[in-house]
Amino acid sequence: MDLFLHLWIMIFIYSIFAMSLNLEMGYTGLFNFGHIAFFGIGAYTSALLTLHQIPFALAFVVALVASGFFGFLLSIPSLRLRGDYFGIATLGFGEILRMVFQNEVWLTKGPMGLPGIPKPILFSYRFATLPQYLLLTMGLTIVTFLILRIIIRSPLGRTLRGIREDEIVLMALGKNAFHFKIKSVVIGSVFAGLAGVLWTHYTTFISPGDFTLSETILVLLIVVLGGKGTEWGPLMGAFVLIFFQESLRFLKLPTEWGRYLAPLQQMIFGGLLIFLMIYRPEGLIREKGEGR
Amino acid sequence: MTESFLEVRDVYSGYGKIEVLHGVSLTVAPKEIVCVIGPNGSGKSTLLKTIVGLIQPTRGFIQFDGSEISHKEPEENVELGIAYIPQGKNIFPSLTVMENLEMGGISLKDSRKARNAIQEIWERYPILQKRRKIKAGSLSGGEKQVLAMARASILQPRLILLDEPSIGLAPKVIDEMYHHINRMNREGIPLLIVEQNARKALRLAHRAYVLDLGRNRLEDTGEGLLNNEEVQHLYLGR
Repeated sequence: MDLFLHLWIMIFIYSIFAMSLNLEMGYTGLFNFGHIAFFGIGAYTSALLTLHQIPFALAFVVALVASGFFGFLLSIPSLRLRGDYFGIATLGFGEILRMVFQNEVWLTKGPMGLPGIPKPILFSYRFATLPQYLLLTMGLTIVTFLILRIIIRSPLGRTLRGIREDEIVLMALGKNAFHFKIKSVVIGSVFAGLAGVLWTHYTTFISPGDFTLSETILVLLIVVLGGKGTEWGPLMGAFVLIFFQESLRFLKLPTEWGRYLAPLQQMIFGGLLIFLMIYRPEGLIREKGEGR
Repeated sequence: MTESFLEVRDVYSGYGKIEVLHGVSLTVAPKEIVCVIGPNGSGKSTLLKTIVGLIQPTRGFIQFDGSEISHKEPEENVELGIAYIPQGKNIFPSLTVMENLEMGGISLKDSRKARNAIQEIWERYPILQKRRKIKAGSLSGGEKQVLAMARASILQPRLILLDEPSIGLAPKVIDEMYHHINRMNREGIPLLIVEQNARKALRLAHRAYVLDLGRNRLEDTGEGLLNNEEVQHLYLGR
């Protein structure tokens, strides 16, 4: 039963994370390879604040603001770059941030990590048990889904898709594409931060090793597998991939298999990504109205 | 050419260190169709991009309706009433026809105005209304170009910059295209058209310029260039 609950909590957290990336990658066409950085900023901010006895509700808000703010800071220089170069810049940012987590020992305790992160308390209600936490993550997943859906279906969402399709044409219609790309990255970062907050208070222990490139690849894979540029794709992708990843953990395999299994999983993910690119680039769910 | 609506005077422009325009000048009078022809790489598209502000000129002067716009951003120029229709891929392929048109009105403050404009487009281009729910990417080449022009008209532009409207289209479709262009002009909108399909464009244009390697080479009425021996030899393949 606990395994079942754990699985769903992880699926929901990664759904939020993937939905945030989907806004940038699927709808705006920005290949952000450093998305884990904003997950990490949300996670560390909320963890550090609550460890210093700041109420969860406040820490939660500050964490989201911090994620959005760093998204804004990153986007100003990096969004002036085109296509692949934006990807490389964000990749670099993700790694730089991990180094900051690792080396600013006074703040983050470096590789030792932060243990004992408290469970969230909202309106004097403590989300401590698995079912309670599941409710919290599920609720916030629904909220995220609805907010992003409103954005996607609004004129703003249409403009973002316009950027993905053709920036020059959009500019010829009198829109400043740069400003809209910043909005996309900031909103995406805020929701990535939200996923980070939920994750950090769930595991109650974080260290820089949790925010590596392979996490970005996982969430990238979730979006691509599920179907980028679709409303349900990230949820679908998170369900399939997290189910696969987390259930391996509970197969009770001999421990000496561990050292083979971890790299093997990466190989499977990498292979899956290549397979998808060749045979089903649109993912499990197809963007609406393709063709006639 | 006493009163010019658009004036481009001795403009230098290009991409980074590569200079493409080495001092180009032209004017467009109110209600006039002006055509710029020239071979590949002569800087025709660069000229339009520079006017609309996608590229900033390094030297020279651009004036529109009495005020200088040399260094304005595209969104400012659109607000002033300059519509730019890029060459070829100028629609949003995975958005529907309707959404494409709505995108044309996104910079309008008044959304009712945009809706009325779209109503008008349905009347004017019934083919678009029939196809309004399908993705623009699956329209034919001619329909795409019509869509791009219809979308530009939503902003009620005071000047239209048109980059190679006939590129990749069948001759019959090109005729239709120029019919639409002519109609827009008769309603009083001046157009600056850049073309490789020189003959069609020259027949319609009041005045025309020949651009070569980023410099003005010839200037005359459309008719005049059409009958010019040099132009016939070099650009009309006769």
